[in-house]
This record gives sequence, structure tokens and C-alpha cells, in this order.
Amino acid sequence: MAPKNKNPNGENVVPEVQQKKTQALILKSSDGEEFSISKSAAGLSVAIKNMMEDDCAGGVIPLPLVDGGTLARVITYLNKHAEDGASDEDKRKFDEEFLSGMEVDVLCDVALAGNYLDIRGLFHDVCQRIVNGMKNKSVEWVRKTFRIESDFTAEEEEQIKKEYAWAWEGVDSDAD
Amino acid sequence: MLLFLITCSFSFLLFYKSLPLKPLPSWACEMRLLSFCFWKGISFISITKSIRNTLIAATFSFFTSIMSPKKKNSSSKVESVEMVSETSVLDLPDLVLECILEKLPPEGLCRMAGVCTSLRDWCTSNHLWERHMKNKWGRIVGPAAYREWQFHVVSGKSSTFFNQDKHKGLMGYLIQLWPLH
Repeated sequence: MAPKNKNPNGENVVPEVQQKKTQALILKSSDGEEFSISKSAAGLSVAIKNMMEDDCAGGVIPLPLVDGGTLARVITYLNKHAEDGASDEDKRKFDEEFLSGMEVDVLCDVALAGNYLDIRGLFHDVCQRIVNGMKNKSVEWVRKTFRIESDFTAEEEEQIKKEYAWAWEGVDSDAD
Repeated sequence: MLLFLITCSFSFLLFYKSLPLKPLPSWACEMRLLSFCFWKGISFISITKSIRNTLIAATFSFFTSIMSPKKKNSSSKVESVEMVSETSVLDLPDLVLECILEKLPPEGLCRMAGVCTSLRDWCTSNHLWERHMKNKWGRIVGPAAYREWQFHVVSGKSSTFFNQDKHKGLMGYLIQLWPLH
């Protein structure tokens, strides 16, 4: 056996590539839930990958900005995308289904987690999804859905509507 | 229970601190004394109760400890609760919000600008429109026209979002939005 495959105690060391696939990491959400994830799946998140490379990822990785429900969704996504047999077509279909069932609030949470964990694909898909949901909606719909209060005066609002009348045309009905 | 004791000692401290200050009107002193006696009374009751029945005492002090901070800063509490329970687009970090707005079509951006002032500031920022500008006009706007347009931007720095002018169509709106910096 080559010496580089032995650690100081003389035990055999699993080659690094294999180690990456089989070993699991524990991710801990803000509300204390723990999730096990394979290193290959976790490596799709650039933030976690960097942590692993810097060797800060000893055992449990706390993610104080991601709650349990959101983390579970993110892990489902990562597992699918790290699957060996999954073709691009499979993944695309999965993404479609994965995101279509989500409410706007959940999408925002997942976008936040995707940004925090630096998962490019997920982040852009979620942002696109949020945009698709709101791009043809009225101002009132956006205010209601995102709980935004208008801080315009009635005059200002009237003026904006008049000025940008073309942008107010062809808006979907406010019904969800 | 611990919180309860802390509140007691807090009110005592208040009372104690007020002593070296210049004499307050007698009613204020009375009020302080009253609150002091009030808390003392309550703690006395809770202690006797805890001797008789610890469970009742625990719930009692639990309720007083829950009630007192709410009265003090109910508004800030409500705000923080809202922030935690509901993620809104405006709570997202700038980068995330920007990514979302970047993907909006021009008419969507204009509509978003009508939602509230902070979104208006976002949606009228130059770099969001630069992409739309390049997409739509990139092939016909040559370097000379681009320079002239930038000159227009510089010279028109003072105009605002609401300024009406003679430009018509998308280009006009873009130019109108462009000078905002």
C-alpha cells in the first residue's frame, strides 16, 4: 500500500473522491433541526463547498439564516441535482415541479437560502419564478401579495398612473 | 420567576436612583412608592402562593412577566414579530431584490415603480434599464449615438422621475428615467 493512503495511525484512508461521495455532513437549521446530506450534494452549494475545503466543516454546519422548512426544500433540490443517474431533462422537470408548488412567501425564503448558500441554479430559478408570478400583475396585487404599504400620496400615484399608462395595460386579473 | 424578580429590583433601582435628585413633587414620590409597594405586594403574594401551590404561583409570575414587557415596548415587539414570520420582497437583501428586478420586463419595472417609494428608487436605477436599453436598441444605437445619449444624461441630471417631457415611446421613457442617479 502506498504510504500516502495511510494516516499517521497506520490505518487505511479511503481515497478522497470516494470519501466525498459516501461521507455525510450534518446541516443545522436556525430552529435547531438537523439534516444529513451527502458531501457531493452539499458541494453544490458554493458556500458549503468552501467551508469543506477550508476544513471548517467538522461534523455539524450551523446555518443560522435558514429555517428547517426551507432547508428541507433546499436539501431535496441538492439531492436531486447530485443524483448520479439524473439527466438534465430529469432535473429540469424536477425543478419545474419543485418550484410550482410553492407560495410566494416560500419562494422568497428559498431565494434567500439559495443566495446565502450560494446555489446559483436554484437562486436564479427561484428569482425567475417570483418574477413570472408578478410580472403581469397589477400594482395592487403586488402590494397585497408582498404586504407592501404604499407611501405615495394620492397625487403622486395618480401622476405615475397617467405617465406610465402603457405599463398598466394588459395586466392580469388580481385573482390568484 | 427570575424575570419577575428582575422587574422588582428594577423598580427598586428606579426608586433608589430618584432619591439623590432634586425633590420631585410629592405625588411623583408617592407614585414611585406606590409602584414599589405594588411590586413588593405582588412578590409577597406570589411567595405565599408558592408555598401553598407552586404551580399557581408559577403561572401567575409567568403572566406578570409576559404582561409587563409588552406594555413597555409593544410597538417594537410587533414589528420584530412581523419581520420574523413573513418574508416580504422588501425584506430580501439588496442583491436578491436586484436579481428579481433584473428579470422583470420594462413594463413590469414601471409598474413596480408605482408600488412604493423604495421600490420606485430601485426600479428607476440606471443599471436595471441599461440591460433593457441594450436588448432593445443595442443593435441600432452606434457609438456616436451612445455618446450623444450619455451627454444627454449628463446635461439632464436635474430632471426627476415625475418630469414630463416631449419624448414619446419606450426610448423616451428610458431617457426620462436614465438621468436619475
